[in-house]
Parts: sequence; C-alpha cells; structure tokens
Amino acid sequence: MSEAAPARPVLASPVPRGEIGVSGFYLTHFLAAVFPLTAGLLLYGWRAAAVVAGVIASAAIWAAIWRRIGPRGRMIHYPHALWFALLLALMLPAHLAQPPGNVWAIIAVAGLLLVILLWISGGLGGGHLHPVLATYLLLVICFGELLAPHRILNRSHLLTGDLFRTSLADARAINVPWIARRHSASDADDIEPAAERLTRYTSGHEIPQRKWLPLQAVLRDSLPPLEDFIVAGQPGAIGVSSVVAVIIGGLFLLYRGIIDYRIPLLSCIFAYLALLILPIPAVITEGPQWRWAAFRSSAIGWSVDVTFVNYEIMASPLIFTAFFLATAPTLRPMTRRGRTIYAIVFGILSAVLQLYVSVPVGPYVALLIASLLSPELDRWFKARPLI
Amino acid sequence: MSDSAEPSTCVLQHVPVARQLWVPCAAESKAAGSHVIRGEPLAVDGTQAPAPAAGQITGISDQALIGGQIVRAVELETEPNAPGGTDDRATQPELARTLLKTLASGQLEEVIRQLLAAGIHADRWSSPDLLGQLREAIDKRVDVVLCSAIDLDPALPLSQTLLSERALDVATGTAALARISGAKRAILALPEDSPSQIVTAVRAAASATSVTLYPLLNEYPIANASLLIKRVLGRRLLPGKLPTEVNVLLLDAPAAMAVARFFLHNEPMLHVPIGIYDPARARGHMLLAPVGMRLGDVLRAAELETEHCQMRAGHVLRDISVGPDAIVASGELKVFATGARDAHHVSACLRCGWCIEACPVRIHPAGLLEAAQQQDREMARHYGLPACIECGICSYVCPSRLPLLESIRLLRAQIA
Repeated sequence: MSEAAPARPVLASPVPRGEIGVSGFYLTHFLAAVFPLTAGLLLYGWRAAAVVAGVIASAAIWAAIWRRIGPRGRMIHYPHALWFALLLALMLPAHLAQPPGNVWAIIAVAGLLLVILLWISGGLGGGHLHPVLATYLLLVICFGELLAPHRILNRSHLLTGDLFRTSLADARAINVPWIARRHSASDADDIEPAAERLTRYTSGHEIPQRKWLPLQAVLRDSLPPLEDFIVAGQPGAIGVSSVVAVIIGGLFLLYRGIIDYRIPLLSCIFAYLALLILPIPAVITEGPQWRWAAFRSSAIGWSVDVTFVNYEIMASPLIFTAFFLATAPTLRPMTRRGRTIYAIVFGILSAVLQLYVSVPVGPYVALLIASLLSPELDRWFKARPLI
Repeated sequence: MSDSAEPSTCVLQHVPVARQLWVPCAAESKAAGSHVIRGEPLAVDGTQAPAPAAGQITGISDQALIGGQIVRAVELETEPNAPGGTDDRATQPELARTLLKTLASGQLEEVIRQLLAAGIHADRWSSPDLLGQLREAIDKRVDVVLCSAIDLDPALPLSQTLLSERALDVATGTAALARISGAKRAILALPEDSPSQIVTAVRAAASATSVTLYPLLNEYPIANASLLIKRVLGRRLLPGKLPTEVNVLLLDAPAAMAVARFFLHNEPMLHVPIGIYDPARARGHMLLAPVGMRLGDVLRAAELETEHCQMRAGHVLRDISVGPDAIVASGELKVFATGARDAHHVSACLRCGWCIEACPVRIHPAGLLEAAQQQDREMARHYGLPACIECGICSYVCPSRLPLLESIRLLRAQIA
C-alpha cells in the first residue's frame, strides 16, 4: 500500500477522526516497551541504559540526515524510526557499552544500518522486510560472538552495579534460582547462557564429558531453574531477559487494541506443539541419537519432553518476537485469515530453527521467512463480505 | 429493552412555513404564476406534490435534497403568515384495527398512486426508495415488511421521539404496508435500550396491529438497510439494491408514520420530522418542517446558531456535507452541525489493518484505496467494493488519516 510514495501534507476530509494517529500508534508501542526496558535496566545497569540511549541517538541523527535524501527520505517518520531504534536496542546485549574496546562502535553502526534499511524499505508502512530484524541479523552475521551475552548483575547490585565487575558463577549454584541465590561480592556473574547450551545440545554439537549425555541430565544439571527465565536471572538481550516483563508489555499492547491477539497466541501455541513433536537428541554418545519426541521413546518421557519444551520457549526470544516484532504492521498480513496462517507458520518455523540452528536467533530468522509470505497471504484471501 | 439509563427523547417542534419553498415534483408542474392552496397538487395532472402552504408558483429548478439527491422542484412563494402545522389528531387503536381489516393485498398500484398524490416518499440510507420498493412489489413477492426505528446516532433520537409521540402510527403504517403487499410478517426493529415509556407504548401499538417487535443493540451503522436486513432476517442485500430484491419492504419510522397518517386521517405529507444536532447546546432538536423548506431557513426559524459549523447529513462519519440550500423532503432527516474543519496530516498507510477489523461488512478498505490509486476494477471487486455501505468507520479509525471513504466513493463513481 503506498510504498515509497512521497509524504505530501494534504488536507484530509473533515470527518472527525479516531484518537490514535501515527504518532500515538508508536507512542503506545513505546509505553509497552517500558516493561521489558525497565527489567533490562535493572538487570544490566547503566550499560543497558547506555546501549539504549546510544542506539536511539544514533538512529535519530542518521534519520535526520537520511530524511533529506530523495522522496524515500521523506517517508522516514521520527516516531516510527525511534520506536524501531528502541526495539533494536532491546534485542542487543548490554555489554556492548564497553568504552575501552571497539565494541561500542556496534551501537553506532546499528543505528546507521537501521536507518539505511528503513530508507530502502520506504519508511512508514513500506516493504515487507522489518528493518529491525534485518539490522539485527546483519549484526549477528558480522559480529556473532560479540553479541553473545554472558553477564548479569547480582540481585544485590541491581541497576547500580557494573556489568564488567564480575566473577565466575559457582557451577553448583546454577540450580539455585537467581532471585534466591547468595551472590559473591562482585557486581555481576559471568554465566554461560542457557540458550547457547540448549543450541549446542539440540544441534548435536555437544561433546559429553562422560561416555554419554542424556537429555534428562542436561535439563537437570546444566540448566538453571525456569524461574530464572520467567522472572529474571539469565544473561540475555536487554529486553528479552524477563519473560514476565515481555508478557506484561505485550498484554498492554493487546489491551490498547494495537496488536492482534492471534499472532502471539497462535505462534506460541504452534511453536510449543512443534517442539513437543519434532525429533530431538535423546542422548549423545559418540554422536546424537535422534528420537521423535512425539513417539515417546523410552529415553524421553512426557515430563522430560514438556520440561525441555518449556526451556526452549523461555530461553529463546520467541515470546518477545511474537509480541513486539511479529505483530509489526509491515510484516504481518492484513487479513484475519492471513494472520492466522502467518502466525502458525512463524510458530512452527521458529521451533524448527530453534532446535536445529540456534535458540537465540532461530525465532528472528523464522519471522524473516514467515514475513515473506505476507503479501501472498493477503492476495490469496479475498474479502468475504457480510452482505 | 431495559428500563435503566434511559436516553431522553424530545418533543417535535413545529417550524413556521418560510416565504419560499422548493417542493420536489417529478411530473410536469403547473405554470409559473399559478396560485395554489394548501394541499393542492403542484403537478398539472394532480398526481403528486401537494403544496405545503398556500402561495404562488414562481418557477421550476433543480435542487439538492439533504443527502445530496438532485431533484426537480417547484418554487413556491408562500403567502405571508401562511398557516402551517399538522393535523395533530391522535390515532385510536380501534381506528387502526378497523383500517387494517379493510386493507387487502392486490391494491398496490392504487396505493402507489395515492401515496404519490399525498407526497409520501422516502429515499435515504435507512429507508431506501419507498415508492420504488412498492412498484417492485407489484411483480415481486414480499414476505416481510421491516420498519426501522433505530437512530444512527443516539445523540439525535428522531425515531425514538416519533415512537414516544406516535408509536401507534408507526406500527399501523408498517402493518398497513404488510397487508397491502401481502407480506406475512410485519417487524418493527427498535433499540433494546429504549426508554420504558416508549417500550410500553410500542408494545401496546404492536399488540393492536399484530406487528412483531425486534429489539436490537443500537450500534452504528446497524440502521443501514443492508446491515439491518442481514441482522434481522439473515438475508444478504447489496448496497444500492432495493430490499424487495430479497423479498423485504423496508422503511423507517418517519416513513411508516406518514403512511399511517395518510391511511388513517387522509393526511398528506406536508411536513417531515427532522433532527438537527446543535453543538452549541450539545443536544438534538426535533423539528417538524414543511416539505420544500431550505435547511438554512429551518435553522433560522428554530433559532439554531450553526453559522460557523460544518453540516453533515445522516451521520457525521458518513461525511455527506450539506449546505444551507439543501431542501427538506424525502432525503436524509438528520443533520449534524459540528465544529469547524480540522486539518489532518495524511501519512502513508501503516498496514495496521484497523480499517479491516472495524469494517461492519468485512471488506478491505485499505485494499480499495490501493485499487482507487491504480484504478483497478478487478482489484476493487477482490477487496469487496460492491458490499461497501459507505459508513465511514474505516476513515474514522485510520491512524494515518487516509481518505478511505473518499477513495471508495471515487472508485464507485469511476466504475459507474
């Protein structure tokens, strides 16, 4: 619709309009993002604030410059660009704010890339490629390892602590929830994120310390309690570390009628079902022994499978993606039936990519693929008028 | 139909006859200079357009009704202080019963002729071309007569006012048309939150005339003919088609009342009820204005200050601008005066899909905008153009302030 059309200030009809305009639309998104943002600031301290401020400032500066370039430039809308910048910042780890090294440059590059992609896609409502998603995936390709989060503030140093004043977390303490853990004197813990551990196991790259490594042992010994994902306690991206905060933000968007409930609901349900069914390594010996989780081999019972799926869902950015990215107007189809199919495809693809490619990146790639279907879905579904 | 939170209704206020009237008359009219008395037909053959007041014919011109239809009208210079007003005789239930007993099907052609001679007609969003429907009913079976007493906007409760004052007339008019057209059912649709005194009056009237009551939630734009027929009878009527296509005869409360007054008291339609929303006092005014009076004259006579207002016919969201020169007749009977125009900045389509979510007939307004831009008829059909009722909700909810309703009207004009 109106892709890359120059924005012309014209007098619209005198019909009284609804209260929410374009700026209000994105302001509501900002308000919803306050919840995961607050959780991120608490868990990662001033470095998280620096990353968010850096990405937003960078995007604002570049947007001011790129707005002057051609008719596409005029389609760059500040509230839209700034919302995308905040969204991108929420997907980045807080340790990028590291002045002594060169890592901080990623923040500036992120803002520039975002604005360039926004310009290419035609700005407001243009294109079917989410600039935030594309920017993030480009950053992952270019700086993969640098984007892997390993640090999180201790409970006693929330908000005020420094993420780089760390000590290695006691391996035995991993089974104790972060919220109840007795922390060391340092500000933060250095922990291997559960998402990486899960990726290694499910993709079959795990090398067992003993002769064999069953799934139960991974779940029991190597992963933190689920509370660490639901409330907080696992290192991750700034906006993705607390599932509760993400869900509250998403529910706020639903309450304000900004997003369609079908997308987060169906995508999460279908991702869950797919994860329950798809083959997973039941045990790793010399190599992974794949079993269809759906057929309940002796190695994987219901309880193990459900626990495994819970970890997969909580450790990945699936819920954040489902609420804040998959619902983006440029990505999802406009028709109800189209949205239903899109959500199902996204959920299933997300499960597949999480299992066999990467837990932290899988949902983003899945969304990128599912969004390519949107124009076709809109074309397939003809309007079915009531009268 | 609850008794709580009752919306108030107003009393119909008579508007004195203006010095100049423009009375719609499709037939050949009497020559300029002819003098007519009140109720005398303005047509040469005496078949239509009764004069609302005594006066002299000064000419013929094309005039716009409230709602936009252009009609041929006879200009009538009325006598100073010409008597106006209406016959305020109340209808007794016994009289209604007697009338309904005497009416029989098969008289349609004669009834059409009589209604035309009495100036009774309606052609508006909630009551499509009444005489056209009756003409089609001669050859086509009608099994339901549906009368809508639903107000598009509760701020202007014209139908509720008529029900509170003339419930028996409204029910009798509906039942009479059912008898004449041979319809098995006569239904009166009214808001389920109607005030208790109206409900009591309507129940008594329905009982006297064997009309079935159909209370429903009054949500804009349920009063639209296509939507109302879908909701009440489950039949699909494309906008622009007459309800007789689906074997229904549809009229609204003012039309039903006019029909009943004619049958019961031989009263021609010299006045029409009209509702005007006054933004200064934030309330609706219910008036009884002579047919052929200019809207500006009505407003002046009723002492409504609407000089700096934007006037819209039917409903605000439908965005049908109406000027002070529009004529009061069979067109829209509600006028909303709203504040001065606001300038809105239009943004590109966000693809938010709110227009689709909000559309009461489930079409794709954003797709229709694209079809209008590309002038693509096939795409317009794909996105449901034929089903659009032009309610304007899509334009209202659009965060980008896109002119969706305007584009749909433009598209229709291009295709036509």
